[in-house]
Amino acid sequence: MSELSNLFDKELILFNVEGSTRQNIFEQVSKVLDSNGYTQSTFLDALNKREDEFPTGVVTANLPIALPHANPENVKRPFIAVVQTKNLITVQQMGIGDDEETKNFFFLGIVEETQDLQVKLLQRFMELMNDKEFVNKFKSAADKDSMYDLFMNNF
Amino acid sequence: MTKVVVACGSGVATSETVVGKVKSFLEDHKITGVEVEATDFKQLANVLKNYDVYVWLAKPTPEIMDICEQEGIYDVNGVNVLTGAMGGDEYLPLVNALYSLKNQ
Repeated sequence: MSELSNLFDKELILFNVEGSTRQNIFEQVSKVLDSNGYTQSTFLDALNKREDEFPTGVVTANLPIALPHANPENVKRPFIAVVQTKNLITVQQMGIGDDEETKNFFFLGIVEETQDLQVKLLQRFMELMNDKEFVNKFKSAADKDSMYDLFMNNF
Repeated sequence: MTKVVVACGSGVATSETVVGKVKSFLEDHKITGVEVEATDFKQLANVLKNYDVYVWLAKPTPEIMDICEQEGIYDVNGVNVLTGAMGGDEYLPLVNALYSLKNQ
């Protein structure tokens, strides 16, 4: 375990989130973030706006994912939310804007004070996405505890 | 000094991550004389002409592409650098750009 592992929270690991659109998923996740005191009331709008303008879908070697995040002023304290949806959700890819279908969302709550730490987190995270063994474990994790342990063991 | 700029939507998450990866790559390959910085997309049009290489994480607008063309700035796909999914080949466009700049 490292200082990075503090950014994870079992309450922010969600499985089988239902919904058919990206907006719908964002809304539900925002509610959880809000009720756990992580975000400002402006977060959902900011998140959607940023995703419209600068999409965050990324097709990694072993898994298509999305990394939604809003500007720091909408975040109270840093977090990473690990969210799996029930259905495939269409998002756009970072940089090229092409469509991508994914069930795997990692919401990043970035605040300026801990930016360096979160950059380290994202670097480690992208490294893990290229690790087939990790991705297989990620796919087979079936409950909050095993998912949390998986991240604790790798950060 | 060759100057590289990495730009994403807000300049806080993915661009800083790519800056870190590019710096490590340059260090690992003992490539010196290259400065790497992050910026956000809003600033980009104003500062782009000060750089030699532009690593993009958000789709470049026509305005940005015009600046690149007029100023002879090399543009490089940064999403591949972020994912690292090409097993190292993601750095080739950057290396080619640095090599071309060196021989100008």
